[in-house]
Formats: sequence, structure tokens, C-alpha cells
Amino acid sequence: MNDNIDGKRTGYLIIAHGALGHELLNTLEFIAGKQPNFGAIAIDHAVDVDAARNIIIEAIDAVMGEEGVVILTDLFGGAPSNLAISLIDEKPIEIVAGVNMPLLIYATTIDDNLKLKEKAVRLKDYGRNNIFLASDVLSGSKKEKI
Amino acid sequence: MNNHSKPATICNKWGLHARTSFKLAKKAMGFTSDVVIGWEKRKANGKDIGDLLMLGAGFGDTLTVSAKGPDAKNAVDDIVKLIETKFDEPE
Repeated sequence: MNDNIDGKRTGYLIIAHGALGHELLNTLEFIAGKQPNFGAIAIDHAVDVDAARNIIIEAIDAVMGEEGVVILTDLFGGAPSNLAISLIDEKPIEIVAGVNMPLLIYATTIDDNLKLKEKAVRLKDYGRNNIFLASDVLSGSKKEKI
Repeated sequence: MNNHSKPATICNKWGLHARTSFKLAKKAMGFTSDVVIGWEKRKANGKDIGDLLMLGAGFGDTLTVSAKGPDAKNAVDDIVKLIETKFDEPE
């Protein structure tokens, strides 16, 4: 286990296009404080695929917990997601595609004793279930979740 | 099983937003008791940040902090104190 992640069983790595991943992490830390077991990287298309893959491997290792890393990508099928998926047999990782802020906040408080796969499933569900149509909420109708 | 409940008025100008909801949920998670935050007709699980954000409570609104469980009184007292000290936020 990497000493940097403060004894956590699981690390989290946001991989996204452009500055999105870093800004998501900055915003998360503004809300929830410093998160030593979280990392973020940008995929730059100016870098060749092998170099990008190596950057991801280094970033995974930097947040590696006892049990592995949940990778949070911005878009299933995009380059960040595809590169992460290419590592699925090499590293102890689970990948959640479609990262959002509710999911990230939830990740800071999720039960660390859960298995890696169970964590990833819960994060996916939480992220999806916390998208709202504001007008429905404000009208007092059911909290319709998309 | 102990039940405890107390009102608390939000006195920070930004109200119950992301950071303050996070602080409230983290505080609630430190207790075994179930915690419910009520405002008007809405109720939120005090340990669920997403649920707290749905309350939409702002400056001057009075919340009802309720807890049920072995440490209910301490949970309510600590959460009320957090709310009434502006969540330790500047605004």
C-alpha cells in the first residue's frame, strides 16, 4: 500500500479530458477537505497512447490502496475511459464511467471496508440517483430522479 | 431506544450548501444514532449529504434536528451547536 493514502483500503483516480479531472478534484476538496487517497489526471491527445497509458499506471500506483483503486472517468467510450479499461487485467481496479460531484462526495464517506466492486457499484448508483429535475423538486412533487 | 429533538436556526448567510451539508453529515456519521434533519415538510437523512442538499434550507430557516439511538442526545446537541456556530464558516 502507498503510504500517501493514509491507511485507506481504496484509492480513487479521476481520469478525464482536459482540465475536468483536476477541477473536479479541486472542487471536491473545497467541499470535503483534503483527500489524500484521491488523484486526478488529464488525458492529453498530444501525448502518444503508450505514454498516456504509462501516465495512468503511475497515477494508479500513486493512490493504490490495500485493495485497489476505483477509477472515475468522464465518459464511457472516451479516450480516458478506454485507456483505463485497457489496464483492467493488469491492475486491481474498477472503473466507473460518468463521474459527477455527488458521486465524488459520496466516495469520501463510503464505508472503506466494502469490497472494491461493491464500492464501485454503490458509487455508480449514487451518482445516477442524484441527478434531479429541479423544477419537479421545487414544485413539491416526487423527487423525480432521472 | 433514546429519542431526542431540538430546533436549530441557520445563521450562516450561505445556508445549507455543499460544504455545510458535508460538515453536518460528517458530524452525524460520528454517532451510532439515526439522525433526521427536518425543515418545513421535508425530512433528510442527516448522514446523507445528497439528502441534506435537497432540503434547500437557507439563512434564517429553523431546522429540526432529531436523533434516535443510544447516543441521540449527544448527536442532537453537537449538530445543533455546529449549525448555530455557522458550521465554522466565515459566511
